[in-house]
Amino acid sequence: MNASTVAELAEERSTAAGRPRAVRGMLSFCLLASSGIGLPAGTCGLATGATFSSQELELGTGAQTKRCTTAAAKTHQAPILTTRSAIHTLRVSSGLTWEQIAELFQVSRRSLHFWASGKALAAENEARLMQVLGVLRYIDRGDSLRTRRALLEPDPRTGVRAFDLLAGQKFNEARELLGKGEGGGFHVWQELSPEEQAARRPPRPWELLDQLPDEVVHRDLGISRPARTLRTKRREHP
Amino acid sequence: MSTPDADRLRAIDAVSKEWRQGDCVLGELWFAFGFKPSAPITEEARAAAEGEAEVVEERVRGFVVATQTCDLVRSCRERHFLEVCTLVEMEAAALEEVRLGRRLRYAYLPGVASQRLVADLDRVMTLEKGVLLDWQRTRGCPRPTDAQAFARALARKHSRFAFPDDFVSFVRPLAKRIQEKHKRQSSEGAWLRAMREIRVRVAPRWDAPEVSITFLLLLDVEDEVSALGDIELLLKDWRGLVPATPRFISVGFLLTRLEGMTAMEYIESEALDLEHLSSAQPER
Repeated sequence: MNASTVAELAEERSTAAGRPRAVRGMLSFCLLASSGIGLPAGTCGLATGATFSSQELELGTGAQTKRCTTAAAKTHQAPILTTRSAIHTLRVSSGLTWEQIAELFQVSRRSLHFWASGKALAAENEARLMQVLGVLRYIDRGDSLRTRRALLEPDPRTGVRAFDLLAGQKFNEARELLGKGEGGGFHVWQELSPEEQAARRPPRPWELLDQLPDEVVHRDLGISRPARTLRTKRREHP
Repeated sequence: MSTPDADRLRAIDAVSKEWRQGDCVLGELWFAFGFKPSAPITEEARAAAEGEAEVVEERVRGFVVATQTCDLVRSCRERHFLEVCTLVEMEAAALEEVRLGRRLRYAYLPGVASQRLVADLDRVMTLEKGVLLDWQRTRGCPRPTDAQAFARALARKHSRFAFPDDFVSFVRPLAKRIQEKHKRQSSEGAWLRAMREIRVRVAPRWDAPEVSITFLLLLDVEDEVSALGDIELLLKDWRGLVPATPRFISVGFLLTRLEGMTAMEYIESEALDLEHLSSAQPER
């Protein structure tokens, strides 16, 4: 299944009836992570050494999430992305700035930052996000800077930019304009584990104010002795 | 044990309120540390071991107060102690290295730098606050920014993130490349000099069996895609330096500015401790 078919399938599924509205905001799709480091273009290497030549995108939302069923997925559990992860994946894989991503989706910076913090996307934006990620996966130039350059540079023959095609939701045209990339630069932004997230949050103001009075509450052993000391002369330092 | 009378405690509290973190006392002072008589390490400990002592006192040029100011000013009835670091003298060249932050064991104190004195953060001693009654205060940190820098140096001494060994090995080629190239008059050198910080984000967590790593390269440039040369080729070279490691299944690079980072990205990442990497022992 090539990326175009998958993207079309993704679009079809995203507009199909029956997707529970209760799980909107949890945009889940399965991307096969690619390390791409030191590996031949077009393949993904896994710890086990398994390789595969095609990557699939499958759309799922909440309880309907389907995991990828390729052979590789049997050896490597692909991460399920939240909306937040998807937005950050787009950012780190495309090299686009926040302003450029907002322009791509024709939304305000404020809306984009809401998405990046996990706020629910409208159905049409969900589909659009998946389409854009699918295109990025396809045109991947090996690193985000080269991918960004490819997106933003006008085509020498037509003067058209792939970025503008994406902004206009002309995803197939964008793919055709840039062609398939060497891969290796598409980087999935996984969520931290819940424990890790909790450990890194700064304390809340009320937690700081909730600190107990400064008093001795421990129990000393109550045993002490004079130390037998010897005085020496000062050392030299560098 | 008898307790000091109330007047003395009040006197201690009164003088404590005058002291701040970063204040110094100069003169003939003694730093005490314990050791194992059967296994002394320093010359001082070896000398003391011969005399059957278990604690040795070493003469030092002075002390700098390491205790936070808010804890200094608390009553000695609740907070009996303060912590000090020793002041040590060094040659001008070494002093400059400390001032530039290149010697993390030491902290620069502008107020006593004219005497070529710095704080030795490796040697910390705890004292009862009563010692302040006899100490003549010298401001080690005359300006608020000096005090902040000293506080950061203290925090850094004890809070640097302990990167796993496999990550240290993983990123060593990158660190070596930075060290080799940052002074060169090349596009890569310019790019490296424009780098404000390198941060690293690992998901789902550092000790997971498989992790995804993102290097966040923060640049001090107006525009990430600035006229610094062919950054894309450099980044490709960099990616080639990062070896494939079974545990690190995905590695990405995000080029941005501080202004372009979200607070969450900053919180979820660590500063790459390059000075530790440069001094870490190579694998055998």
